Amino acid sequence: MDLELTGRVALGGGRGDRDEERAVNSQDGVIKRSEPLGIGNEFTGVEVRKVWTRQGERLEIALPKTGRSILLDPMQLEILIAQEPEKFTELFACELGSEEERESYE
Amino acid sequence: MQTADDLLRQLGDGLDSGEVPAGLFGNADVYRQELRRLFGRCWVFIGHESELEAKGDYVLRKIGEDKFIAVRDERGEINVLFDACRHRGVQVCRADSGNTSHFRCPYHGWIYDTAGNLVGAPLWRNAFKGMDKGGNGLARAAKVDSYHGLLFATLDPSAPSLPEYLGGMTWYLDLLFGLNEHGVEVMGPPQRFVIDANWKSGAENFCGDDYHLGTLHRSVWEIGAFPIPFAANMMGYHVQASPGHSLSFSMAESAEEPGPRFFGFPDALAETFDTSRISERQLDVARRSRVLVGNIFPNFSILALPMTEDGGNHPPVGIITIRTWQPLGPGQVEVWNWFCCYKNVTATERERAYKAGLGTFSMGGSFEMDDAEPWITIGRTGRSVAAEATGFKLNYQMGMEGIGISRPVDPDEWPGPGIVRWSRYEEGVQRNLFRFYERMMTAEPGEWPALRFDG
Repeated sequence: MDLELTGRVALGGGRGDRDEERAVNSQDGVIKRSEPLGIGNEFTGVEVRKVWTRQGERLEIALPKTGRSILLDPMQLEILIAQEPEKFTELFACELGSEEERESYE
Repeated sequence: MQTADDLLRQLGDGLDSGEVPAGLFGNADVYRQELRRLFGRCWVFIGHESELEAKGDYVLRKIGEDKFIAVRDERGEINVLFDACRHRGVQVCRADSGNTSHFRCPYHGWIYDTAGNLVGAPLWRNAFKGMDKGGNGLARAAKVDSYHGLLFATLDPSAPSLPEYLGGMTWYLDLLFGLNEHGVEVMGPPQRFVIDANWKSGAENFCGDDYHLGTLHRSVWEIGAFPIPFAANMMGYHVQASPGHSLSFSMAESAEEPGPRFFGFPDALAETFDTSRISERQLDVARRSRVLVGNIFPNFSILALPMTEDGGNHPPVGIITIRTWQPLGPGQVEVWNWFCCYKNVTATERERAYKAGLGTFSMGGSFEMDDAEPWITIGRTGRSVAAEATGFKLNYQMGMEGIGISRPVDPDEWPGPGIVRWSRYEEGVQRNLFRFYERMMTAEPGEWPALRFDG
């Protein structure tokens, strides 16, 4: 998957004209953001919100502890849904650089 | 100083005469051996499957004093994993419960999937390239199994299967947890509270110490918490279901008595009880049962009975509490207390049962607060110099041959398995716990005492 990493810190609301104006001025073309929902457990926590561009909408997932975030469109979400849980384990292994040993699982 | 061996020898010698050395309730050497020989080997209650309905749901539980993660993995299987990173033994899960797809150790960042497999660690190529991940997953319980949703695990690879370990107790678990096709679920997370008492005081009480109700809990009748008079409630059966596992039924001799029936469960719920999962004979016993209280060796107890927290405003209703007597040392126990209900009750019935349970068998409950006080002093007696110096033995003689009114029950009078006696003026149920206790405590590694009375 070719996922866009915006590198933007996703903190604060996006309501109102002033916020909207500020958002438009940002690099990602987002003009409006919904209130965030937190999804967390003891290992990590992310913020999820719906965002609107001039012509459409995406799901924004942000990791406050690093400031990274991602904007996923319905097509990307569709293919995300098609993944098996093992895919995410593999993504962790890739991130860590331990994917070469993945054949030894179990 | 008395050793565990001394006390176990006294137990083995005295049990047939109804004598139990008081030191068992406080001796530190005994406690250390219990952790290894009982909790390190027996099937121990972990939780209820309804606590882990979704993939990724996990709870932190204990086997003995050791923490284990019970988690439903992405394939839907339940794993019971030792909560210690393979790298340095650091506790991986710190929350009591949660939902996750992976665990990440807080020390160096090793990541495991929820089946316990090592996925990787930070800067893997620099640090561990070439190392096999296969042998570096989280350690796990030797065996995990469940019965009617009750989840157990054992650390001993030589342990018998769970049904074999439960033995005759399965017949009795059926008639409380298998009354209809829906089964039961827990209502919320477990309540936890610490009592400065030995864990065995709870376990042996729930084997069927019905006799204490008339003295210690007398006030609960005065507030109308329980609908059956003390003398009538002493009528019923004491059952040694199989070695170690005991229970007690409050039940009238006549099937025509007015009840309460089915542990006081609401009539509308009782109408859904059938033989889809149990036999007609089990259903009959459940129908006639006013109270069921029991203990699965070593420390898992069950209680079902009609209760109310407020007799002036609410009639008693059937509640189910399941609990572990979690050892925290020779003189301390943490009670983990879950309330259960049948999945097909109405929201109103559920709330009523929950409030009745909270008001009676919980840390602020009328019954529970009573019990803590004497149990604390049993531990004090067990730790005392006086108990050792005088060779102090506790009396477990009620219902022995020639003592009291208890009598054996013919197999044609009672359809279930085990050694059964009529009337609850009887302590054979506790002696059954201590007999199996003595055999487990003195068994060689890999050796198991008989799990059947005829075996």
